[in-house]
Amino acid sequence: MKVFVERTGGWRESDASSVRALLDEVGVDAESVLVVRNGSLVAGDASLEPDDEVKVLSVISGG
Amino acid sequence: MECRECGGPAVFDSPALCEEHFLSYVVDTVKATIVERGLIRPGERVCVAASGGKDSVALLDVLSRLGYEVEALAVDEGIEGYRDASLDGLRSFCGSRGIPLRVVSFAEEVGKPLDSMVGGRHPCSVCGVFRRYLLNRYARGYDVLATGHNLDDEAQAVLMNLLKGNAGLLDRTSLRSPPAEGFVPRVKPLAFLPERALRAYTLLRGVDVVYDECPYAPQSLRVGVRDVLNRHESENPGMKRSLVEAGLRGASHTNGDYISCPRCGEPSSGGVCRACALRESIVGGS
Repeated sequence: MKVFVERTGGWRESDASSVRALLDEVGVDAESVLVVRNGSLVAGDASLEPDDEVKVLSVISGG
Repeated sequence: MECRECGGPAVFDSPALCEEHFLSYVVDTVKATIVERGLIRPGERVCVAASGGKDSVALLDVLSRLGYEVEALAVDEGIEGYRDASLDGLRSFCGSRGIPLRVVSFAEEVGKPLDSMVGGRHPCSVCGVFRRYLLNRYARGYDVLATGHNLDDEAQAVLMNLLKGNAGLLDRTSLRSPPAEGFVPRVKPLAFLPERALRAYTLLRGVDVVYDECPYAPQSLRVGVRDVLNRHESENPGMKRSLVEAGLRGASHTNGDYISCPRCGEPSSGGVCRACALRESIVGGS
């Protein structure tokens, strides 16, 4: 699936089958991000499919 | 994961809630914080310190929904490539909601943008002094100045003050600053909501903000503390709130004595205030 990581501003490919596995792969703490799957916010235990489009949004802003 | 209220699909974990119940949870949490902690009293005029980031946009949205008459005050520090986008978003948001917005800048009020003031100084210290100064000065006339400090900000502040052995600052931990001559009371209605919930709130309300992290942030102790707290919160949910509650219990909720700065008339703990002293050392006397 295609994954956009907001903090780095880059797209990557992943075959992770769950949000948790994807965050481990990207190397970010679940507390510091939100995951949007096909345009909808999903909880941390959501599963992922190969044709999903996923965005990993950073919740950290400011200084 | 199922919504704890209705069993529908959860969009947020900790607490597990569907979209509808999550949005209600955020508004209800802010309302409970304001009422139970005495943050904003009936009839008080509220000025919101706004940056256009997720916290201040969520705060403006929720306070408006709760029926408060709010106005927004923004400070343009002059950080190239950082503040312009969020201020554009803030202007657009405030315009669409009919919320009055005032923007004051370091360049006009202090004499230089932050980028030109740093030179060997710690940028967060310089920024903090002038931000606090301008917010207090331009919030005068309102009953309270509401800031978007969230649970993460507050937990980080408690831990940072402990790490630095700064008992004086820890003592001032409060959700409504105690009365002090010359200061507009500051309130923190978002203090029990983590920043993760606030970004989710802006996303679900359709007022999502541009992601941005201050380019000076990597120089701050706060970033290290933030990462440590996030790691531990994942393993021990509720730890950030416990830290904030401990800070509030430990604070004396008193304020120091202040005089008027002989240069600008703003409150000072003694002699020329920090903002005037810093301005004179950077841009010379006025």
